[in-house]
Amino acid sequence: MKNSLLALFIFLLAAPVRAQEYKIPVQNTKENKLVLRSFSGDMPIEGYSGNEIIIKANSLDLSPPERAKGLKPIYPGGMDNTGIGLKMEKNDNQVVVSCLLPFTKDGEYEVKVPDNLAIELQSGCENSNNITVTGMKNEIEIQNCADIRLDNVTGPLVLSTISGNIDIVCKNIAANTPFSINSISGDIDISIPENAAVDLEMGTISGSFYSDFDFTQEKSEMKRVGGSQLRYSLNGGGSKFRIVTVSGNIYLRKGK
Amino acid sequence: MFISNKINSTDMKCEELEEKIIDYLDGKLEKESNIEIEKHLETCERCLDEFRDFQQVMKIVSGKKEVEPDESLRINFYHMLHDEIRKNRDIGTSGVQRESLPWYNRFVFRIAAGFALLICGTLIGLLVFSGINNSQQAQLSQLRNEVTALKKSAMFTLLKEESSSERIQALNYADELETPDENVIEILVKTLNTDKNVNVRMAAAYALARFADYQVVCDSLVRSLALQKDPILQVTLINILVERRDKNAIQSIERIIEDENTLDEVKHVAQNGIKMLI
Repeated sequence: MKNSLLALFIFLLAAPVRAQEYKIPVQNTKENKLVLRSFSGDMPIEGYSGNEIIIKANSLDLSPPERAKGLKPIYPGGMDNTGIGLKMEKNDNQVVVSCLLPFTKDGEYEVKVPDNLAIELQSGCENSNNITVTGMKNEIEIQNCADIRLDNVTGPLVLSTISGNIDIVCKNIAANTPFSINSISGDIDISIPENAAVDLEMGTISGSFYSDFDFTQEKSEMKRVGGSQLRYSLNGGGSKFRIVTVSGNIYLRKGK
Repeated sequence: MFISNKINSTDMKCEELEEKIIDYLDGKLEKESNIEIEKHLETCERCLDEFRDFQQVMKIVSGKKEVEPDESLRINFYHMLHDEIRKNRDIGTSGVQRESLPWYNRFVFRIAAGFALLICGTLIGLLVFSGINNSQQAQLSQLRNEVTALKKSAMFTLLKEESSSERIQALNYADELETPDENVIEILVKTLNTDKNVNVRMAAAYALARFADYQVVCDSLVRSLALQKDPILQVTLINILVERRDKNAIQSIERIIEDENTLDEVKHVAQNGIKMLI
């Protein structure tokens, strides 16, 4: 009993050292946008119903060495004003957080975001991070080089990746929500509600389309424009989905 | 009780009468009280004057009220009605009092009137209906024009938005325009070449592809191909131009094949495209 209490005490003491948190309060979350730049490594982003952006750094590397006592870390990308290797800027209705760590270093960040905030993520091929976003109800814009995985999102979605797969699960889609999804050499796998009213436009150069939706209704027009491109309206049409991949396949599934 | 009442009745004072006078006029008093008042009025001239004034006022006030017809009026009405019905029935059966036109004349007249009505009705109907139709069609086409104009202006406004999805939505509006004007093409080309988001540039390419029958559009797509560094856009533009069999594109496509930074997938598409163009 005594030992376990002691262990708990040590754990509680150690916790803030192990994982540092930085919080950014956001007012009027719906009109705001979080822009994340130059992050390396996998960085899960999760929506929650609050009004603070919470960034947690799980890496131990971030605490400065003994010798650095009394000194500040200096990064080529700018001043660390968060204490966890990030630069945070607020302007108009944007919060821009840039990672200052070199791309060889992984801060093992985890981000919790108010779920109606728009988010934008840009990372190049040198960052090679797989991006995971869950439970977001606003626009998600991602330019990545590796995998993109979105779960329980509503759109609008503006996604593009070079050599990764894109996996998306949409539980519901707001009316008139544009989806634009590009991939060069990865597969695109999307699950949308069975009753989603969507104007589809799908294209692939050397891949194929697979779906359990009914693509045989006479009423809808199915056009083959050029190589392998098709337009089709599901459930009367509505939100415009443009899904394009060069060498991957496109999988369109009915959501459970 | 009885005694006190008796005393009151005999010695009714003017103030008392004043209090009761309205009720008296309304007929809401007991018979006894009525008699008292009448007795007093007979003796007191001042109160009689007052009473007449009140009577006058009450007449005016009650004149505003709904008048309840008395029983005699009702009976008279039914009498008259009854008489009238009987009179008519007599006329109907005997036909004595009817004369004027002979029956066939009346019949012909009725038919003619019927026809006249029918024709007038039809004419008016046609006039009104065609009028509505024309104005409706005019309204419809005006509405359509307005919608197009709205979409166009929405496109120009939305293209300035910070959010990429809104800019894509703007380009989706351009997708719906039947014929493009110079301004539309200009802004589409500008978006294709300068927007910071690759998906937005893609959407612009797709919007322009619809108008690729115009040589101006084709030419700007060729020029854009030389600028684009993003593989997905290179592939899209090559496909659009190859589909249009635009030989002007050959040079730009060859340059992409020669560029060592070009992705293998894009090179593959470019080589296939060249084969189709040559």
